[in-house]
Amino acid sequence: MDIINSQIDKYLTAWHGGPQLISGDRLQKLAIELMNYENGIQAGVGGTLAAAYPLKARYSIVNFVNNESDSVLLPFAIPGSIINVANITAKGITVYAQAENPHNGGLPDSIFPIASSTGVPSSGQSPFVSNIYYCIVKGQWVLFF
Amino acid sequence: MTILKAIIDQFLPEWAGGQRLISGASLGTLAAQLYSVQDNIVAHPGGGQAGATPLTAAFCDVTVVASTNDSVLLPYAIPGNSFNVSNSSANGAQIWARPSNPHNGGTADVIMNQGSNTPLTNVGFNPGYVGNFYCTKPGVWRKDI
Repeated sequence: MDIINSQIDKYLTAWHGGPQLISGDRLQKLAIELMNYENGIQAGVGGTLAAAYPLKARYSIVNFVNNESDSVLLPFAIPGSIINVANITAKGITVYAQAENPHNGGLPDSIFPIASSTGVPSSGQSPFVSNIYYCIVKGQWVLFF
Repeated sequence: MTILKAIIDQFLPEWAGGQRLISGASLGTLAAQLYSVQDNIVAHPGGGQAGATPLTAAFCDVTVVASTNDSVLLPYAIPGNSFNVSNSSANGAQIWARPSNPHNGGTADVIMNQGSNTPLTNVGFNPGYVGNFYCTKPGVWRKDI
């Protein structure tokens, strides 16, 4: 399994030295990671980790929440990752971290709320609030809004 | 005029496939969109949308707000776009959305504040604040503070 220390590591081995041919696919992948977005997300019904909708994009908009605390799931916490999550509904959502991160020895990811040194497996996100989740340390999402 | 659905759309047709020559200009455009800086911004005296100082970089520092509610203007709201704005002055500024967005049928852009479902044409920006504006839907800026 590919163990990634940071999001940028996968590019650095190919991007070095003088003028050279560059893989278009690799460059496209970087652009997508930086700028892609997903609209029309429906939070997983029931609010559990198992039911949580997996977020994939740099910018994610949650448009549908059937019941209070329906859930979404952050990607693996890999340093250099950052995602914006907007909950544009009138109901709160539960944002889960991954239960097992293969890029961090299979340990569970955690979320660190603002001004807290304690990681939690999930965090609530209020109606009409957009948050930024970013990762500096493997396995840890830091919440900013 | 090129109608962009997303900031990323301009790169994807060129950046695909295997090893190939890549346009330095388009790569430079991507880098500029990600890392450009606009410093020493002077907010438009008198405030308001008309004449508001345009923000043009990824990181913008408003250093001069001579009078409270002097104004600056966001770029067009195109999905995948993200801007960080700081107000380094001692006075609060107004941040305005564009009155007409050619990438969204000419309709006016709006700004969605944290915790609110009401689209706004402008928002206040307190002294000392740093905020992130990002777009996942044509015409709509979301503000993280």
